[in-house]
Amino acid sequence: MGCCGDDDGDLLDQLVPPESDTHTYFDHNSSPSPSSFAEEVVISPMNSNFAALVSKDLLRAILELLPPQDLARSACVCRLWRAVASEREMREKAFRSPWKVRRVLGDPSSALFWGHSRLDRFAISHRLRRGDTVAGLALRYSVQVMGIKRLNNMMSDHGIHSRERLLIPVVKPELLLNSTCYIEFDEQAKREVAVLYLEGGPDEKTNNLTNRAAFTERGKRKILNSLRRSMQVDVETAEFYLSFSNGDPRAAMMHFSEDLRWERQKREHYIFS
Amino acid sequence: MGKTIKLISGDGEMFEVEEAVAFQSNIIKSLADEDNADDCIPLPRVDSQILSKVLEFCRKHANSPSVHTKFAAIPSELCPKHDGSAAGASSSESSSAHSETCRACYDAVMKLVQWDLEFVKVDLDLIHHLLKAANYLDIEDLMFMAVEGAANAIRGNNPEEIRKLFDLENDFTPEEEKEILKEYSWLDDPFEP
Repeated sequence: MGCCGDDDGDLLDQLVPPESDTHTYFDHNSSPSPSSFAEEVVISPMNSNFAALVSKDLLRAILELLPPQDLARSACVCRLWRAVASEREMREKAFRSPWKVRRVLGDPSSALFWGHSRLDRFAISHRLRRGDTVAGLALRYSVQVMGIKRLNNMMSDHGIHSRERLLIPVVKPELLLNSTCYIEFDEQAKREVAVLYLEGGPDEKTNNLTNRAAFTERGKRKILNSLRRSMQVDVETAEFYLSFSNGDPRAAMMHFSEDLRWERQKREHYIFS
Repeated sequence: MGKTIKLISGDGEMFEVEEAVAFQSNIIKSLADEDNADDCIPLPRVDSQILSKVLEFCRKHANSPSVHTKFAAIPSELCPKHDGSAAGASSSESSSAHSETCRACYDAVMKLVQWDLEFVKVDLDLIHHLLKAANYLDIEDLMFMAVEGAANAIRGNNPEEIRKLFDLENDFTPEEEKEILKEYSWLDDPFEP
């Protein structure tokens, strides 16, 4: 995270109503010598006004940690927060973050798309080949036949070859790791989906196994067990968090606690599908 | 024994701390390097109450790897197991890079993270000041945790609650309010597509 050097003070001025004097955004230079602002606020419990203390960069650093719903709520707080929370990059980051997707390209038709990133927002694009059957695909991707049919609005098992591709539900989050997804409106599913191309797509997908190449089997076991003890989870979950944190245990733990909070809110606000 | 640095808060109180503690702040570090005769560094923008809290954090982090350090990059000197004894380590460990499978380091890092998370479970007022102080003094780890603490306060709350917590004014115009209502109506709808 580090110090925020540049502050976009002029952008802030556009947001703040000229008559308001409660919002005085202080610029911050790296040196503690007196800045260009005459009234310097001493950092003290006496001067308690978050609006006065927070710049756009700091706010970005905070909002970056929020899951999509909380980011959306932040946009309803005040003008400054709305300006920051509505930035496409902020929304994309919040959307990507739980699954460690590297990039999401394309623009959805409405901001609603960014509102949550449950797995059903994603789908794998499978280009149909001769001999493909729904049952065969279900087996290959470890999903249920019903799941494929529902996603593609299929009435029967036949007639899939009039289509160029099928969308496959994502059940293994590891597939999203470090991937690039494309927001598309799928004609068959009749909704917008973040599509993952596993093969023949425009982007080379990084195999998540390379993340583990750094570990020896024994070393990995040791780290996993320690992580598992601290987080009190099963091996698979610890493995998942460790692999996308790139061997960084502190990052793994932070992501885990963040996801736990996300899960808690998910349960409160939505019916688990 | 390490060298000490004297810091003077905005309200005139003096804090004397070890270099390793004070140098968590990149600002203090660079100021101290400027060959200060009496090693007395004034910090006019931070008052004593906040500074003491900041130093509490720095003391805890003085001999730990930074929050962003990957395991493989932790130097042996910071490992609790190798405290002091450099030689005699296993052949795979160099003096500058630590083994990424060291359990002692692992547990130490985990403990520190938990301490950090508790440290920022304080009222939002204090978080604001820690955030600003960390920014002003350029203390990376404190910045990281204060930001996490602020995000914690936002998570799970609706806009009105957030406004109250952060002492923010609803400065939207009526037109903007309408726009927001339209754009974010789905927030209250648990069955959105």
